[in-house]
Parts: sequence; structure tokens; C-alpha cells
Amino acid sequence: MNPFRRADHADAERLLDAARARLDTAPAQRHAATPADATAPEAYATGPNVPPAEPVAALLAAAAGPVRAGELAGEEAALAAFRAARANPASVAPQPTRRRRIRTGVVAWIGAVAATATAGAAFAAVTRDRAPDPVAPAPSGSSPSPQPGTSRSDESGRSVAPGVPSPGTSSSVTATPSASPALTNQLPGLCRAWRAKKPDQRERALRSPAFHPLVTAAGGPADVEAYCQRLVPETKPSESAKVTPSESAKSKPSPAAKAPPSPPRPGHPTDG
Amino acid sequence: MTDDLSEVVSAAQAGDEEAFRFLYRSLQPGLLRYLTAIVGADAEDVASETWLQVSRDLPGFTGGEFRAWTVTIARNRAMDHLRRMRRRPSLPVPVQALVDLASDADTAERASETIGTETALALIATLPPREAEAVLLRAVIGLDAGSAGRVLGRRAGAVRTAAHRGLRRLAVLLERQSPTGSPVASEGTQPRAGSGPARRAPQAEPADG
Repeated sequence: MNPFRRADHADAERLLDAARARLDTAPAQRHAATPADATAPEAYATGPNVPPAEPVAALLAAAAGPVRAGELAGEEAALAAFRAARANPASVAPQPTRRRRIRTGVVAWIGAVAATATAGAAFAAVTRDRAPDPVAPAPSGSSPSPQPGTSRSDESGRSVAPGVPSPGTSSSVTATPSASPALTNQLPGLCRAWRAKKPDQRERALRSPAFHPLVTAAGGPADVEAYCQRLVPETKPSESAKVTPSESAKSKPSPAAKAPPSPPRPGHPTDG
Repeated sequence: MTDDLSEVVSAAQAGDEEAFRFLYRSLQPGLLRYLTAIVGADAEDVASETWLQVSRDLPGFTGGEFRAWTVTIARNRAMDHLRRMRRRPSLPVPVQALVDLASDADTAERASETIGTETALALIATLPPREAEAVLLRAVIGLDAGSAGRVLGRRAGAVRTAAHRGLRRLAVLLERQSPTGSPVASEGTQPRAGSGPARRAPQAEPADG
């Protein structure tokens, strides 16, 4: 019943060419028509109007049928790409700025070392009962290192440190907002995680080791809110979550605890 | 046929946005259908990548068959995509498509006209990849066998053979899906097989071949 079963190459070529001819009649109309109009059935009807006799021919004709809804949905995007390529041929194929990234990374790393060196004591003072990172070297200033007896709380700071760091002269020395490249990458995530917490838990969260990099980068617990707002500006800030100086000072005899609200911040690693 | 776009391509290379739009509208439907057979539901993403590269590389197009040039880009992007995905997607065919096709075929008179584009493409996508690509490049994109062969990295003769095999396979598929095919219905609405072997003997045997 199907003549094509016995067809040879010539028949196949004929069928394939017929479908192609049908397809090629379409663009001439499409040029004037909007994409929506092109999906109208008329676009098909104006092609070779003889219904194909063979089922395979009908199938090919259908496969090469008129534009369907949605098939030209990317038109404006394609045109935008075309314009961009015309406007600035070089910018369309940007070279990976690997060298620049490496340089920034080195700078950030050096900054991190410097910040750790100068601000270790400040952290010890700011964070209520948590010892600074083990790698923190002794500060160059006259402020003393944290007491060896300072207890490391697990993560929430439930236990009160027996040995509170003495104020020293480092109360004005605050965290230089720099971080290692690896940390910089995780900062947005930390911001989101921090925001996901309930407002009344945020202050406490900032004392946990997990958020230490965020506090470091922001320059202090009180600045995390603003820092995250700049880094991940989607959500609006919730003022209620701000760490109030009185709150942190309440549990901390050190005057250094009052320093965080207005630390001098030379700059932020916003370039990542 | 092969040079029908050359003027438009030149205009687009000179910065004519409408010319580029024309090229997009001319090629995108076929590209999308071809890509769907290769990468399935990700065809639109791959097509977007394709047009991005076409935009970028258009100044470097030195003539020849623009369709083939574009399809080559599309195919490379599709192969990259498949490598990324580490899979050859099972083509989203078709139980429902085949059912629809069969029900269409039941209404015998319009059987030959009512195969939808989607159904047709789904059926072509069931072919072995080489045959499906050959059929789509020839019939949907509109390349001749030589150009299709250059896109696929094969000889024109190999493309012809693959397309031919694909069409034969499609013919068989269509027969199976429409047991009371349209030509038979017009002859006398015989139920089918077994009732008159002598009468249909001279014609092609539908069941085995």
C-alpha cells in the first residue's frame, strides 16, 4: 500500500527535495510577517498546495511545516547578540581574565595576612568568648595576646570565658575587611545564610565560627548587615537584626566591645 | 537554492539588523527542529548558543552555503552539549504522539494531511541518529546531500543512503501506525489482511518486506 517501500534513491531524493522546496517558500513571507503571524495556517497553505500522495512525503512536509508558536521566541535575544557583536567585536568574546584574578587573589591574600596580624587582638576583644584562630600571630602592637585560658566554645558561645582578653591598646584597631580568595567566594553564601536566621538569632550566629569570615570581611558584627546589603543586595535590610553595642557590651566587660559599631574601614574586597 | 541567502548574508555582515532578523527567521525553525532531535528539550538553549556564535563569527563567514555554515555551528554546539551532559537523551517520543498519529490515520481521507509537525519530528527522531540527522538536514534544514555531508563530515553518497534508509524506516513506521491506511480505505473499506490475499498480492506486502 505504501509505494515508498519499493522506492529507490531517486525517489528518496525527490521526496527530500520536495520537503525542502516547501520549507524554502516560507521565509519570503516570514520576512514581512511578525512571528505571531507566521504561525498562522496561511503560511502553510500558500506553499505547494497539492497534498502529498505518499505518507512519507506527508510526514516530511509536516516536519518542514510552518513556523510553530515559540520557535522564534529567541529572536530578540539573537538580535541583541548581533548588536553586541557589531558594537564591540572584542567584548563578545571576552578572554578569561585569569591573570587579573590571580593578581587580585594575591593582593587579597596579602591583605588577609596583614589584617590578621593587626587585628587578631581586636577580634579577641570583639568576639565575646571565642579564641581567635590558631593561626593568628601575635599582634605587632602592645596589645596582649588572648589568654591561653580562654575557653573555646563549641559554636554558640554558651560557656563564658574565664579569661577575658584585656582591653589593651587595640580597642581602635579593627578588622581590616579583607579575606582570602576562598573566603571571599563564600561570603555571599554566608550573607544569605545569616539573613535566613531569625533576627533575634543573628547576633548570636555572628559569634559562631562559621560566620567568622563574614564578620572579618564586614569589619565587625555591627557592620555585617550593611556589608551583606552591599554584597547581596536582593533582600531589604531588617533593622531589627542589628547588633546593638549595648547588647554585646552587656556580657563583655571589655571596653573594646564598644568599638565595633564604627570601625574605620579602608575598603572592601568587593571585586571578589 | 544554495545562494538564496547570499545577499542577505552580505547585508547582515555589513550590519543590517533586518537582514540578520531575516536570517534568524529563515533558519531558526529548522535549526530548532534539528537540534531537538539531537539534544531533546535543551534544543532552545543550544540554539541560543548557536546564534550567539553566529553573531560573533558572522564577519568571518567567507561565503558558501550559509545554512550549512550555521548548521555546522549548531551541530558542534549540540555535540558539546551532549558531552557536557554525558548522555544521549532518550528522545521524547512518543507514546502519545504515536497514539495521536494512529487516531488521525483512522480518519482515512485526511490521513495524509493531518500529520502534525510535532508528530512528524517525533517520528523522525526515533530513527537511528545518522538517519535522523540526514533526513532532517535534507528535508527540514534544506541542505543538499553534498552540504549535509560536509556538515556531518561524511560523503554525499553516505548521506543519501542514510536518508534513504531513514525514509524507508519511516514508511514502515507509518504503515504500522495506520493499519487501515488511506489508499485502502478508498478502495472498499475492507477490514484488512486475510480477507483477500489474491487481490492485494500484486501490491506491496505491508507486513513484511
